[in-house]
Amino acid sequence: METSSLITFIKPFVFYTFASLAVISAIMVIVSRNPLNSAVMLVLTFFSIAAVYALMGSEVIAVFQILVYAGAIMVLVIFVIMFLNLRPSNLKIQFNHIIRSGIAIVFMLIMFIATMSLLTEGVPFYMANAAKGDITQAVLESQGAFQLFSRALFTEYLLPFELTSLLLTVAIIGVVVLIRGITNTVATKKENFKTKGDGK
Amino acid sequence: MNDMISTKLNEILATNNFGLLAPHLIVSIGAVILMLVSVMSRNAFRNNAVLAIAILCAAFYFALPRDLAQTVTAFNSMVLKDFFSSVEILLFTLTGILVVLISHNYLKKRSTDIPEYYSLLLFAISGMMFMASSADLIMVYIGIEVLSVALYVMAAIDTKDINSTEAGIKYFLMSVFASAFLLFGIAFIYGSVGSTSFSAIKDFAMFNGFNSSHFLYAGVLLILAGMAFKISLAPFHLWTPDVYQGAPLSVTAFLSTGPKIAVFAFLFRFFYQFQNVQPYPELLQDIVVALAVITMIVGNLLALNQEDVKRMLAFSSVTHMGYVMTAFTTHSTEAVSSAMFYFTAYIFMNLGSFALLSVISRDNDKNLNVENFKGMAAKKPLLAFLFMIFLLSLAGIPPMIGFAAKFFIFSSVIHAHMYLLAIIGILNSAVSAYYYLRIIVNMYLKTQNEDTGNNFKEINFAVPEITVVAISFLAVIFLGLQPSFLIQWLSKIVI
Amino acid sequence: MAAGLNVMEITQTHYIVLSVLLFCIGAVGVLVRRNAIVIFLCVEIMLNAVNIALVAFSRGLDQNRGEVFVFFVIAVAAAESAIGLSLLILLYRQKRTLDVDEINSLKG
Repeated sequence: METSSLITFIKPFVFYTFASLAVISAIMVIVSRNPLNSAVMLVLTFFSIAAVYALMGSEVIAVFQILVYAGAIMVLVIFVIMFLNLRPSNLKIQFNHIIRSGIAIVFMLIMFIATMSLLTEGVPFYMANAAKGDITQAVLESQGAFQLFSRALFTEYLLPFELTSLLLTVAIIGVVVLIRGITNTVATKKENFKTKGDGK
Repeated sequence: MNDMISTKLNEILATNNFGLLAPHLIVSIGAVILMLVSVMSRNAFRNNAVLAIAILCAAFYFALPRDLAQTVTAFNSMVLKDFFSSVEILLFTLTGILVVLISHNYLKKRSTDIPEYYSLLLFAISGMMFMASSADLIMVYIGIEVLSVALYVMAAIDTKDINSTEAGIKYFLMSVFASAFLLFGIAFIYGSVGSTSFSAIKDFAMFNGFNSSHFLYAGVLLILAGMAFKISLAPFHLWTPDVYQGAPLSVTAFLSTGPKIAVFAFLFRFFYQFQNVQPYPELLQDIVVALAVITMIVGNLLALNQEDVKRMLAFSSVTHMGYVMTAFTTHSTEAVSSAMFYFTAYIFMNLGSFALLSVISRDNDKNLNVENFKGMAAKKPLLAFLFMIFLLSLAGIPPMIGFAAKFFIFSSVIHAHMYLLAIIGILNSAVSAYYYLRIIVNMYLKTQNEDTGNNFKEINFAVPEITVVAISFLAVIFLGLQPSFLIQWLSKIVI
Repeated sequence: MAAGLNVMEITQTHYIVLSVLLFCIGAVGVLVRRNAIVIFLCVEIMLNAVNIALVAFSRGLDQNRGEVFVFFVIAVAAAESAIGLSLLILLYRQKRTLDVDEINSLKG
């Protein structure tokens, strides 16, 4: 009893901390000049979002978030940024940029306000008519979140799961094709350079 | 516990029918086989083309509908098979076969003979098939991503050409942006319905109506926006011309037919299940009508002053999707069959003209300018005649198939008493004749300037292209003269 | 702002507001920034915003359909990032820039 009341007391603070961290670091992603800073800020966003998932009671997704997003995808992105040795983009201010950015921000503000006005009743109100499942928090705790998740993945969602494997195969082939193209281009360039050098 | 899982798994695997997914499985496994062949075989590029055609023909055979009235679902109602999905799959395999035939010599000429190209093409087609037969938004999402990921690479397949890379990058950035909107829409629908399966969404909408649930409404609109990006309906079309011009011609041929048909398959299946919802959401209907009108007008206006024929065909494909969209607004089964007829017609006339362009093209398609077609009739009369037939069909001039297709589309609109929309469509169709006729005038009535034009001497009209052109030509003429049996067959489609 | 929004009791509404906020930030980033890699990062923010919404709905409905969907979205994002980054390297090798405003060889 003691711990559960403590959790209900702490929960809002944890949520507000990580939610504001996620939002601030997401804003930092779009305002920082150096792509590397953007990427590092995005890692912070992903970690905060993982904390939010854990808070919702979805440990499975929190783990995947850290393993796949922060661990794999962002490492790849940061590796590519450092590999390309990108300079900080000069945020030269151009008139058409200001107009375009203004339009974008106004548009998104309108979208945000529209969504918020939809939420006047609170989200649970709009979910009232939805079909409820039977995997409550108590069931998750007694049967194990990972077990329930994997069981669903390999029975009810078997076909999408297999289709995902198809998608990953396509991605592998695609990367092989593109990267072989890169090495070929570099090789031809070197070859041309060599022949030119010989000509001299 | 383990017993429970195995019984559940057996249930999933027993209640389904793998035969129902036969075309999908043939194409997916075939794509993997092609991948292996491209590593092991020495003459992989040619072997893969032959194998790809064989695989697609097998898929075509297995996709032929046996029982027209039957609807079967499988895999925990993730996929379904009915007459509509069978027709879609037939169209995809047909597109695939024609695109393989167009690609082979063209890519060789461009020295882009990458054997994995065919593997990617088959993966894209299997993604399209899964989209067309999906009965759940999860399947739709993964299917469209299989399709898109394969297409990003195909658009950028010519790694020596900067334009091809740019096309790939632009397509990638726009497409993932659109996917995010699509996903957000799916999330909202899931939140309000509690399921992502089409039938559950339909039941929810029938029972609760649209206006009671803002989430469902917002979700449907976001999905429409995301899909409009993917099929480049105006005002979401801005990426289209650059991608179509930059990508290799054979990829452009595929991009302008297959994926659009697949997305329309989803749109018809998903939105038509709301047709009996009372009251039907006014805003949604208005937005769909506005999309149709804007798409037709914008596509036409932009195509009018294009000098590059590939770019012009890109904008004209936007217009063609606008015509289909007018039928989509009517919510009648007649619209579905007329749209399917239109797609059949569009595959033949579009891929026919792309096959001819692939023969004419040189220097990475840089010679495909309207000016360069001057005097073609004198040098290559047969080629010019065939190209004229396809262009006239695209313009919708009788007795070609394009006329019949437009006739069915607009008659379905008129039967739904949407006269203004039909008039706008017919006027647009008349305007579109201008830019098709411009090429024909250049071919027949203008003489060539020797310095700038094509000399049409290096044209190598080989067996694959001849096959495509012959099939398309016969289809364009015969289905144009005798469209009744095809439209009668297609009118048995019930969604 | 929202009548159902009690500050000290975290409900689905809080998560959805966070999700919409992040989605809008990501979309603004895509429209405002011109560096292709930053645009890609902004799309990742948008996808994460969607994932928050899906998980929130999933927990609110006592189902795991939404969570399974998030698993698929993460897999798709991984595949897409692999392709996207190799495309970006290809572009950089050819153009020495990742500025989408300078990718304009194609003009009709």
